[in-house]
Amino acid sequence: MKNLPSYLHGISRVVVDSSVAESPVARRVRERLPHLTAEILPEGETLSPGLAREDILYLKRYRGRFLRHCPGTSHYRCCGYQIIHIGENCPLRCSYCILQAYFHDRVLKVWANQDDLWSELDQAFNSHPALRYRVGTGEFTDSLVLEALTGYSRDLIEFLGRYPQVCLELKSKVVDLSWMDVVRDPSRVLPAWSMNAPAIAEREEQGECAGLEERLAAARTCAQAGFRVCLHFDPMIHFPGWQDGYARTVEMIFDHLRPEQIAYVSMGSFRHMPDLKRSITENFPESTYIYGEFITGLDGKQRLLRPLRVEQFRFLADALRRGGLDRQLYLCMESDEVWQAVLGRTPADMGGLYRHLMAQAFGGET
Amino acid sequence: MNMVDVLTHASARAALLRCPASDLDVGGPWLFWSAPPTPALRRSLENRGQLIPVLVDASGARPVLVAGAARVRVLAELGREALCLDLGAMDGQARGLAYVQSNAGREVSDGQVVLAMRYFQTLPDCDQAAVLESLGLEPRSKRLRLVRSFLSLPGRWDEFLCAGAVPLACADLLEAFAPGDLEALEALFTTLSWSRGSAVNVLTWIREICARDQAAVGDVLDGAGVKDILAGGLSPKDAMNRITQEVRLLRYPALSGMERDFLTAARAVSAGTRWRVTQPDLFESDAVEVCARLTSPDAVRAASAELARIAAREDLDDLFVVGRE
Repeated sequence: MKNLPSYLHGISRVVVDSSVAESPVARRVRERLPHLTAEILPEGETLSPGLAREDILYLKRYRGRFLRHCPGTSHYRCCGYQIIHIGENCPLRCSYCILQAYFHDRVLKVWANQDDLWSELDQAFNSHPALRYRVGTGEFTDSLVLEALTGYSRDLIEFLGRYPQVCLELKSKVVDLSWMDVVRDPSRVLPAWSMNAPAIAEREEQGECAGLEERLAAARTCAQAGFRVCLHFDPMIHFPGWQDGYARTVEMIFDHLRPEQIAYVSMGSFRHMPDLKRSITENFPESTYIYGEFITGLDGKQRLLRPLRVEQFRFLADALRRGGLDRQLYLCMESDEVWQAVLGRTPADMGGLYRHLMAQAFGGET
Repeated sequence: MNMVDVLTHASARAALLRCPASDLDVGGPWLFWSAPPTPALRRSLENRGQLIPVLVDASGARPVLVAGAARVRVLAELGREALCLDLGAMDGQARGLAYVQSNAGREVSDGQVVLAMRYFQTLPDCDQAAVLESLGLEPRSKRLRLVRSFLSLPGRWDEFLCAGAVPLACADLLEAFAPGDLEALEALFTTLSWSRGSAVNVLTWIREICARDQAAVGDVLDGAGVKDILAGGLSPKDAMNRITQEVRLLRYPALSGMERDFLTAARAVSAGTRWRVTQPDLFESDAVEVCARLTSPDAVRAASAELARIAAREDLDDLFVVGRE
């Protein structure tokens, strides 16, 4: 326990599906949480739904599809990222986190039937050996937040080492570099960290997230080891003083990284389904950014009024451009109008966002 | 309406008695829905006399009225006796339930439910299930949740609810305001009766402005010019529209400005034509919608010519830049 990072100290109960009780992930969790006796869930039984507790780690036999497309929405440009689904929920407490609305419980779930995952990935990658994949695990959980317990990303990296046509992005708000030594080719792994204005990182990313400096220091360590890193300004938050905040973060980025060490940088404005607003007002009553000028977008989600988004994006993009980034910049879930206003180009001008980011991920290899 | 026959409680020992109406103790707090007698009731009692007994608890020195306050009031004014059905000794809960049941034939409004619940919640060891059942409230219903929220408000808000000035749907919004802010909000409901949708919108916006700007409700209402609007002699409908508009302007200043600019540009280009020009998606796109309702080929030809004139206008660009600025 004492060797585990503080963001995992809250776990007080481990539940394991009987069919995965002897899986490598379950074995590791037992070793690393020796003070907890795992409860074995017999075949056919499920953990009671509606569990609001975030102190339960559930090692589950997952029966759905592991490899899937990012749930982008209509009317806006999606980056075409594919998800390797390794689990759900996160012990960190970010006020804006979409997972609050995605899932009805807060149980930390890990898909421990990795053999099924490997089979599905083998089948997918072998059936299209010429096709390149940009995949990531940071959609429904933080890619690395449970790494110290499960070693999941380490396993995944070892597995994907056989597939040079696959580039894996590990998106996180913590610092865990324990997976680095198993990487066969650093050009096929993209460590990625969330970026935000310092005030947002301090106030809205509660729990035990690494500070921005720590994230960037970790990014620098990766860059020095030959990796290219990704940075995600998503969600950008509209708050009083946002200009100073985002300008400071850009300064910090270029204090730690050179432009060529960055594969890409995304910019996405805070957007949400109505349910998330209710979660935020209940769970984070001090968070006032949700009272900004949000309108219902073309996809039915709430998003900041377009000129306000454009102003923020333009400010950030200009600052990042002054630091030497340009082709690496992209907008997450935005329209061509916004692309044009912010970056002076649309995804179509770059051959499509999916293709462009694929090229960026693979270091410009076409 | 009296429905004595549904009072199963009284069936075993109920007895009829007569006493001067003015001798009855009519001050019971369980008479929570009592209203002044209607002219029809007064006429009926004057012309035909009392046809249905009022309910009393005659176990004490003086009969206590359990239900039938309006009739007793008229009979007392007429100096007559009241025909009473004595239900025997009853505690506060039984009197309240008997009162509700004696009114079981009529629809119970949200305000009446709140008044009843206020009475029952003052009673120690009250059987909540029996109360909810008598009021027709489902234990897990949204209505009960809202009623409970409303009960957390000061009692004077009951008047607004009973008068139809504030809808019950606003209860959870109102509950979230601090006492001083609630007091400031009373100005909105003293003379105006809000529809559910408008009230929810206005209160939501006010709450969000307060949270966003760390402001008190009084300051927000001042900023919206509510005092002047209320004192301006507008019709209630116009006053509510104006307040809604001003509060929305404070909540969405940039969007409101864009809407104003678009409206100005749209009016300029479409003036004198049958075309209606609108922005369809809250400025998410640069799109503009132009529509006309036409009822004859001649109207189509005329509208077509008008559209050609609109297309030739130099200020047409103004319509398409609002969302970009």
